[in-house]
Amino acid sequence: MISGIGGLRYVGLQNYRDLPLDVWFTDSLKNNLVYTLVVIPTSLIISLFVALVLNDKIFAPKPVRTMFFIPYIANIVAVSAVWMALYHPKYGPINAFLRTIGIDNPPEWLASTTWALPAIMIMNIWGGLGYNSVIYLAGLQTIPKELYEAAEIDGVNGWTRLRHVTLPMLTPTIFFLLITGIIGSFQLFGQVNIMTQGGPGRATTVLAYYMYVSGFRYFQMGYAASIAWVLFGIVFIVTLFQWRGQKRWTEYL
Amino acid sequence: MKNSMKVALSLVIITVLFTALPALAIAAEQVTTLRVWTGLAFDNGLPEFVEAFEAENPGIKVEHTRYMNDDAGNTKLETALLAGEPIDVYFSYGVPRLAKRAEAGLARDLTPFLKQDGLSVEEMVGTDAFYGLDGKIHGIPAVIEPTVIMANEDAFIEAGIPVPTEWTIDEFREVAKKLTKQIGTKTRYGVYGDVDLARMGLGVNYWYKEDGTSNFDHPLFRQTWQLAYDMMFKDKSRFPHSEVLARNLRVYPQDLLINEEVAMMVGGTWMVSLFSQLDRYPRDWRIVFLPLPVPERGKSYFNPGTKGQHIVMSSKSQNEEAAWKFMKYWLTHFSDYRGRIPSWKDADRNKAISLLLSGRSGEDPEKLYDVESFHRVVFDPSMKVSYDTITTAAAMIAQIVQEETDIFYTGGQTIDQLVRTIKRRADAAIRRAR
Repeated sequence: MISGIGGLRYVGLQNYRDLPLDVWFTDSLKNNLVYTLVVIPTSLIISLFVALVLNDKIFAPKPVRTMFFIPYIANIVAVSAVWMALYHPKYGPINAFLRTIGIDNPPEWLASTTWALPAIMIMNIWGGLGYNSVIYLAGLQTIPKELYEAAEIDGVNGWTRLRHVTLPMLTPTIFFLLITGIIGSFQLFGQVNIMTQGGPGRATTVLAYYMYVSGFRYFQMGYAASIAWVLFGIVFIVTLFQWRGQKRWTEYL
Repeated sequence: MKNSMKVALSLVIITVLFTALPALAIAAEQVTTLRVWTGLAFDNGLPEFVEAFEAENPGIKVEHTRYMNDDAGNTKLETALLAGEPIDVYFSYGVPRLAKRAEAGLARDLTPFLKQDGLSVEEMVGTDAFYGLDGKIHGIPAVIEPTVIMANEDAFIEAGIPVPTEWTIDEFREVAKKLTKQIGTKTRYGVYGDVDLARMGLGVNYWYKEDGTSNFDHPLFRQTWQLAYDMMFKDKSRFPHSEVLARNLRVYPQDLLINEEVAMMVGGTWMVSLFSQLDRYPRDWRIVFLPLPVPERGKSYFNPGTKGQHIVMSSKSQNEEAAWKFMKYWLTHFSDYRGRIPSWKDADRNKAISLLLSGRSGEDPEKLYDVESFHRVVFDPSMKVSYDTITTAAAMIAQIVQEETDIFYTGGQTIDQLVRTIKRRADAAIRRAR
């Protein structure tokens, strides 16, 4: 391993052939897909509503916006440590609250194979709210007031206005958040490394974490590099699809 | 800036650099700095040891760094070694890790140093320890650490159970059940920790068969896992795995005994040196030592403990002679400063034991421990400790076992699935490692 360039062994495409047979890899892929499919839509929808509210007249808009944004810039390690305490199955505040509202057997969160990944998902949706809403806010500001006035004259308001005026004008913003969101979600690593180390079992092993483990714990650098290439390939293809698709559903003024 | 000023500034910088360089070179020649990385939990004993070593070896300075003995800490050590950070001596905990580091070329063969001093590890430590790959000596174990059960004596007295000097698994389960009780809002479980029946029955290289495939279809493995599961979910006398995961207790669980969250703890004698520090671990009851329970009375078994805490010289060390001096000094004298049971023949074992039991505050050992049981259990003359010679894919197999048992102990798969999956994945890992 530390034998330098002379220590390299050429194995052709063997690493790529081993990947689908490796349950660590297939589970990581599955976890990443589940994570992306749940977190991105939820995050985008909730952030949109937060941004719409923040855009309207609310009390102390600037401090409130900062409050929303702080989780995004807070240090991942510190935030993970706090959430680990929150998620404690017996003594954590979240389960204490769930018990008071009548749920007798609250989930064991980070100690459960079914709830560990959802726990991380919840934490990241909360964390991404601030960033997404700020981007949405910027997008909302670019919608020309005349469109809203025209809509009012036509007697449109509320949901219909959202559907027919705001959302179409926001499609470039949504497109941007979708791409960066998906790329970011495939890079999930910090929280997994600190809170669960991929466990329990393989419930929270994700591609970036498995890449780290196979490279730095098992010293299989070649294998880790092939995982990195697969990750690149996935993100590339997804972005390609979105780029082609944008012509059809985004509207620019 | 004006052109002339730029020229003047560069001249000044160059002059300063040139005058500084010779000074650095001179400084480097006079003192050798040894960098030692250890996982020692608290600094007790280490500063005094280093002082004594430096006093005996003027010209050598020792800088020690602590790394946590969990996954992240070990990765930190290995990354530092790989990246060429100047580490001279480090400690390795557990045979799979040492084997992995030796395979990666991170450990220097100590055979020439031993020959030069006329020492033989078999004589000084014993033939029942892991030293290295391919007949080389990659690390020397500094301590003997049998696995024993440390228990809260008051819990036994309160439950009216006489402390057994030997017991079967069934008797062990009964006692654990009796010792489990509610104290206020907390539960005190009977026991924390694994009784590794497979290691006890199979001993050396118990993960591997003769033909090189994994040995996990041996019934003793199934029994070990089933016992743990039954004690957690049927008897409810064993500290639940979900808590271990939620509170990150895999590596340092010793607090549980002192906080009275468990009555008995299966663990290594390294915990005793922590328990002797009454200021950190206050208690007013004694710790009594028990041997591990056995499947059948009268038969002989291996102790799952090992000779461990290998001291290793980094293959990239530039100060080999100084490092070797340090390593010899450690093997012989460190137990004088901090209670652990040294494996090196020349070390003062009795001094080490008294230090171990009385702690650095010099308490009367009889107040803290049932000393008779300590000697009887830890130094049982019939104890056999196993040492592995085969280490193929050991790090991966360790991870596989941990992962799959995590799933099993949190109710995610049945015992049949567990055994099948571990066997299949371990075989695949062994095949890929070849």
